[in-house]
Amino acid sequence: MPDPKHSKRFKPGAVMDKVIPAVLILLVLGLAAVIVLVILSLIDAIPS
Amino acid sequence: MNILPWFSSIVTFIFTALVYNRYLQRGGPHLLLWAVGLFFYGLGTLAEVTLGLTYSAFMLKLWYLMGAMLTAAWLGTGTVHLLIRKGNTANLLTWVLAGVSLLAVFLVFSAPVNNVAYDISRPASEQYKEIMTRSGLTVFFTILLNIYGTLTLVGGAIYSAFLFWRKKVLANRMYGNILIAAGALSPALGGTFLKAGLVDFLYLSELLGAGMMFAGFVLATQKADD
Repeated sequence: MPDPKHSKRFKPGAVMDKVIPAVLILLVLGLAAVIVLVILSLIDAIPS
Repeated sequence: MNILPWFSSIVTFIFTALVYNRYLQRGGPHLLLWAVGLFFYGLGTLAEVTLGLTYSAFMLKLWYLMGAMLTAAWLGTGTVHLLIRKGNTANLLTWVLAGVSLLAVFLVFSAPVNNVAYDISRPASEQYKEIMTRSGLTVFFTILLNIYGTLTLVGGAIYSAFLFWRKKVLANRMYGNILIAAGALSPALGGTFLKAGLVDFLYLSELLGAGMMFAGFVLATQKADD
């Protein structure tokens, strides 16, 4: 029977080890872009 | 008429029922606030559906109130409750949000509208500024609620995913939070497609947003318990 504490841990493969941090960075950049776009759009700095 | 907002509404209301059911089973203010935020999301897309069929000033205002002001902020406050367990910060923010939301309801529903100008063949987000006169206070609270909601909802999901990644635990929650963050960003980025004249992508981004958050929630809660 597997140890429940141990079974919750995971070991990423070589590809995922690089992909996940890149995805997280992309999401942070997306968040920053959305914040800027929201402000510019709502104050009519970007014509809609 | 575009069929995609119909699917967005169906997906969102099913998602709302699932989250509310989980709240009834387990409790936790974060689940209740997420259910409220998702219900607002569903009301927003439902208003979008009706605006594609016929014009109603009430529906346009409901769409703006839910889509542009309240949804992200209520979902984000749920995330605040999940991440900040100590002290009274989360409760305080919830009460402030409740007050601001009531003010937003008053501001939006008292805004004058130009009913003649609405064209049901165009999406509401493309023409609401021509129809609804927003006061400076309305614009201010829209920006404030949007930024607060997006930062807490998306930022909270990214932060959670990062913690699970760093500790290399609970892979399902890490992937779930990544999906939630991407899903929450999707409708916001959809506005950019609209400005490029790609209306279908706007509706698709709303559906993808609801679908990804739904999938992320299911993934994050399927194995491990709170």
